[in-house]
Amino acid sequence: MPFKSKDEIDRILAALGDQLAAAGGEPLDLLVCGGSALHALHLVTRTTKDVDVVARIDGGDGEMRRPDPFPPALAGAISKVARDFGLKDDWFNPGPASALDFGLPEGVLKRAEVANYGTHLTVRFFSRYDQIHFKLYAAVDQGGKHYADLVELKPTAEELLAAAKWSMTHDVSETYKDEVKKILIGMGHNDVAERI
Amino acid sequence: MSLKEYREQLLERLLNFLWRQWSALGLLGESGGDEDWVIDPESLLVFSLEMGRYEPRLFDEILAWVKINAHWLDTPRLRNIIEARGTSSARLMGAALQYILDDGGDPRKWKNLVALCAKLAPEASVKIEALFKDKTGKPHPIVTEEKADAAFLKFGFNRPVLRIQKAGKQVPVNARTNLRFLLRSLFGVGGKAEIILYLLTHDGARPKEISDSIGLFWLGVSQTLIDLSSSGLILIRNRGKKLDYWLSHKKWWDFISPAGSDEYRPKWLDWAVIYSAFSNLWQAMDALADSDASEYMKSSRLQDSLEQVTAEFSRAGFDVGNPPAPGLPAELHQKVSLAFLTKILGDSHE
Repeated sequence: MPFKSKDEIDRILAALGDQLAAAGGEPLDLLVCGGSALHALHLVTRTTKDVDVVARIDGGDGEMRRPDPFPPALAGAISKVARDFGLKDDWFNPGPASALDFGLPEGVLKRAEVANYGTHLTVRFFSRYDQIHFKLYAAVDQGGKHYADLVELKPTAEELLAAAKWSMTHDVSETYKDEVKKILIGMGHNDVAERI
Repeated sequence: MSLKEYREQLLERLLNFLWRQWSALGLLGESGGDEDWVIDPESLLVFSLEMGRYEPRLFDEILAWVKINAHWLDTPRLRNIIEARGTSSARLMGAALQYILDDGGDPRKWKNLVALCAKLAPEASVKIEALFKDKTGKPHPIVTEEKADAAFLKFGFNRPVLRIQKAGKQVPVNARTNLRFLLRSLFGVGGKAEIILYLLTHDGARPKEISDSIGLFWLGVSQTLIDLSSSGLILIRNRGKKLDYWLSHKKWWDFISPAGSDEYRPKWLDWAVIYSAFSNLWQAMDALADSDASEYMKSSRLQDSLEQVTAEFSRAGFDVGNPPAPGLPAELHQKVSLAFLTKILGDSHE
């Protein structure tokens, strides 16, 4: 079942929060990007099938850590919610966790939109600014829906410049830089393409 | 329908089911039941005392039955069931058997079992509570210590002094549901009757399969099978690298069945497993009905319990179909779930 709106995402994440509370494990604080975060901020209208977790935020020092592998309580809760709402097994996944290894945009946590789902689940949704960073990187890599999302976000030249510079720290090759320029030119931002 | 109403309807169905099982054992003077399965009195007793807290009449009728029919009960099987079910069952069984013992029951049969229950549920750690509850779960009023039954107090339960007024009824051993009793009357209470019952309701099995299913220690079961096979009426054949024990259904059913054929053959079910699943379902619903959990969590827990019941029925060899699909709105889900359970508890005997 794909998520079509923020309300649906909230309902599913509230269910996940309930399951986590019932399991009695420690509360979780997670940073989420992707389609679900876009919906949470009402930034896109397309459907999405999953919730992509980038990082787990440590309650002690607020430091971001890789979320994978998920702790057993979370894995069990994800399975229960998948069963109850007819979702695919990996609807809540740490797919983009490797991005953390190269570093996230500076200040990502401060900009994130925070939502509490009961006592045991806090979700921080990527801000529009940080989504532009991730979407540019994904659009170069995969195009398709990521490019469409990037266009729908209507980024300014300065936002695209910051995103391009950040994404090039993840891939320092000239080939990648050329691909970024193509995307920027395709979006009508030739000036930004010349500045990177 | 609220979850409270669902809980009450589930309770009613469970109690009706138990009344039917006990009626088949002669509790109300009726002869046998309509079901086509073999009743397991030990598992039934343990689960019934748990649910009988909501139906004092059933609880006390069962004790009257036990008083008359104690000789039919298999204490090693009871011991294994009590040990598997935990403190709550141990307290209830301990109290009931202490009462039977104090009322002239056979110490050789019950004393060790009462001691086991006391060990599993030490008195010191038990807070006194009312034995009976009304259907909503509200405890009955506590009676003063002079008016309370001493046997039950020993296990932390307060109830008025129990005086069994009328004698319990004998078991109609020729009823199809009571095949276990017929075999116990022929071969004595214990491994032999259980093993023959298993072989009469299956096409053959290895010793370990039999011991796992009947709830008795495998070494004793193996030895009993060897003894039985020397009669020439329990047979051995090779299945792979292991030995399979079996019997001639035609020969045995001609002898045992009043109709003289194996059409009489009832189903064998693993009641210990099934009652354990019912118990878990009931405890989950009882706890949820008054909890402030979200409607989603209540439905999800209900689904957990239904899946467990279905799995245990399936494991016990009884096809009850699939539980309701999850994801329905909470109220509809509860309604469909109740219909599913009604099918299991009321109509599953085809």
